[in-house]
Amino acid sequence: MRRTIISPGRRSELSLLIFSAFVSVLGMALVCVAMQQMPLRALRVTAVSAGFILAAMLLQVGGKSRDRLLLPCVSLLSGIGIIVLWRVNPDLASRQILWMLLGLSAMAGVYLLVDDVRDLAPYKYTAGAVALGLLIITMVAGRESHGARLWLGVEGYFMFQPVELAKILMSLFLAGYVAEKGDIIRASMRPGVFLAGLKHMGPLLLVVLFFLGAFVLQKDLGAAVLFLGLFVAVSYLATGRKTYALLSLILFVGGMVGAYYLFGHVRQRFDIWINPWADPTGNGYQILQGLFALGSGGLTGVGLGHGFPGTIPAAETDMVYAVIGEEMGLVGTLSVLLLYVLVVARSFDLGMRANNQFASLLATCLGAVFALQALVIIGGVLRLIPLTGITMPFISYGGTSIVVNFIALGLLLVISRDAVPEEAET
Amino acid sequence: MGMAFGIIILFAKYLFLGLIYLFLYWAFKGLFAQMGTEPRRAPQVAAVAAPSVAAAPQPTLVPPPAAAVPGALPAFEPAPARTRAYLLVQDAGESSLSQGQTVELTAAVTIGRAEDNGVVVKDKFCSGHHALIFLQGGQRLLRDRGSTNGTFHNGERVTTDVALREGDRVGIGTAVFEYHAGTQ
Repeated sequence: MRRTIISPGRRSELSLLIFSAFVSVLGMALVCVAMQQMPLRALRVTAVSAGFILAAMLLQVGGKSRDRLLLPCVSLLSGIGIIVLWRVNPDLASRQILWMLLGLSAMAGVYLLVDDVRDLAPYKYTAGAVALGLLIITMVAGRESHGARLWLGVEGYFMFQPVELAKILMSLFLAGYVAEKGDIIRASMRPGVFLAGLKHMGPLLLVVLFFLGAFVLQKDLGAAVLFLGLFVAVSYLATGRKTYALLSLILFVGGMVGAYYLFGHVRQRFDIWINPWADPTGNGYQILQGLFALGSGGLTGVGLGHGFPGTIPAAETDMVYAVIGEEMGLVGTLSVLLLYVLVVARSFDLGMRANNQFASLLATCLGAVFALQALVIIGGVLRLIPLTGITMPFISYGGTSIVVNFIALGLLLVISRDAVPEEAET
Repeated sequence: MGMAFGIIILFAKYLFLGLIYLFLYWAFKGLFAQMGTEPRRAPQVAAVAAPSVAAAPQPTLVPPPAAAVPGALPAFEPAPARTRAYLLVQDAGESSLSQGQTVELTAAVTIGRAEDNGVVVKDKFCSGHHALIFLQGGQRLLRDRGSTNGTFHNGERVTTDVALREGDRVGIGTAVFEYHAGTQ
C-alpha cells in the first residue's frame, strides 16, 4: 500500500544525496565561471559528494535500519560550505575537502566500531576528565592566535583545537551523568529536599562553572556561551521542569553580566555589539563589513562569485555567514538556517525515539550543540547578539571542527540504528 | 560575454537557489512524515524487535530512588513526578526485579527473559520475548509477543493490543508492574 504511492516524504537517501551532489556541482560551476577559472575545477566538490554516497553505502553493511535524513542534509551543508570557501580561498577549500573526507571516514569508523552507544556510558567521567585536562594543557601550553590560546600540538606537524573535541566529550559526560542521576535529581526536586537536588546537580554545576572560567580566561567567549547553553538544555532535560531551566537561564545571564564587569575583553565585545560605529575602522570593522556584505546581498544575492568576501576579516571561519548572505542573499542564508533546523530537529526526534535514556540524552545534547553553535555564530554575524568566535558546523573552515562534527554525526547514526525504526510508526 | 551568456548565468543563479529549496521541501516532508502524531498503523513486531533492541543488553532499570539517597528522603508513595511514562514494580514475584524499582518507557520497549530486550526480567515464568509496550497515536499499547504464560492487563490475559491507562497493572511471569503515564 505504502509502496504504491510515490510519496516525496519517502524519497530515498541515495536520491537525496545525488540531488545534493548535483546542486553542489551547479553552485561550484557558477563560482568557477565567475572567478574565470576552468569550470572543470568545479568537479572537485564531487569528491565530497562522492564521499557521502560512498559512506552511506558503507554504512548499509549489515542491513540495519538507520537514519536516512541526516546524511543528505549534512551533504548539502558541506557542499554549500565548499562552494563558499572556494569563493573566499580555493586553497583552503581544497584542504577543507580533505578534512571532510577524513571526517566522513571518522564517522564511518564510529558507526562501525561502536556496537551500542551505551558502551560509551561508563566512560563518562573519563570523557569529562579528558576534556578538562585538554583545556588546562591548552591554557598552559597552547599556541596563541588572534589573542586567544586555542591550539594544541606541534606547530607544522599536527595542531588541533581542544575546544572542539570538548564539545563531544562534554556531551558524553552530561548525558552519562544525567542518565545515571536523573531519577534522583527529579525525585529530590520536591519542596523541602532541595539540598539533595543540589547534591546531585551540584557537581554538574561545578564542572560547567570550571569550563566557563577556563573559556573566559582563554578569551574563547563563543565556547563559554555554548557550554552555558548546553547546561541550560541539560538542566531542563534532567529535571523536566521549566523552573530549573529558568534558574540556569538566570545563571546564564548573571554570568554574562558578571563577565562584562570583570573582563575587559568581554566588555569590548559587548560595546562593539551595541555600537560598532564607535570604532568603524578598528574594533567595529569586522562586524560592519559583515553587515555591509549582508546588505548588498539583498533578497537573492549578487550571485555566486560576484561579491567581495576579501573585505571581510575571517570570512572563511567566523564571518562565513556574511559571505553566504552577500552572494546568495536572504534566500540563501535562510536555506542554510533551515538545513540546520533539519539536522537539529532530527537529532531531537532521535532523542525521543531512542530506546534507552543515555542514547536519548546524548542525541539531544548533540542536537543542542549543533543548534547552539549555529545560533551563536549566525546571531553574532547578524548583530542580534555580541559576535563571539565559534565555528559554523560543517561550513566554517577548520580541520578539528569538521572532523569532530562528523564524529558527532556518526554517534547520532549509531543511536538511530538502535532507536525505534521509522517504519514502526509509519 | 554575450547577453545570452548573462541570461544563462542569471538563470543558473535562480536555479541553484530553487533547487536548494526543492531539497528542503523533500527533506522537511521526510522529517514531518516521521514526527507526525496522527494515529498510525500498528508497528510490525519484527521491525521493532529485530535490530532496534538487539544491541541493548542492559535493561533500563532504575533502583528505587529512596534507596539511592539514603537518609535524604523518606520512602515516598506514590512515586515522584516524572516526565516520561514508566513502570513501577509492584510485586517482583520470583523474578530478578525488586519491588519499588522503576522502568522508564521510551517509544518502544520490549520485555522478556532474553538479553536483547529493553527490560530483561529473569523469571522462569517469563518468556524470552514476552511483551512489547509501544507508543502509537499518543497512546501506550501493550502487546503480548506470543509468550508461553501470557501477559496480563488488570488481571485479564492480553490477546490483542490493549491501551494502558494510569495505574493499570501489567502482569508478566510472576511479576506485576503498575503503569504510570508520567507528567507529559
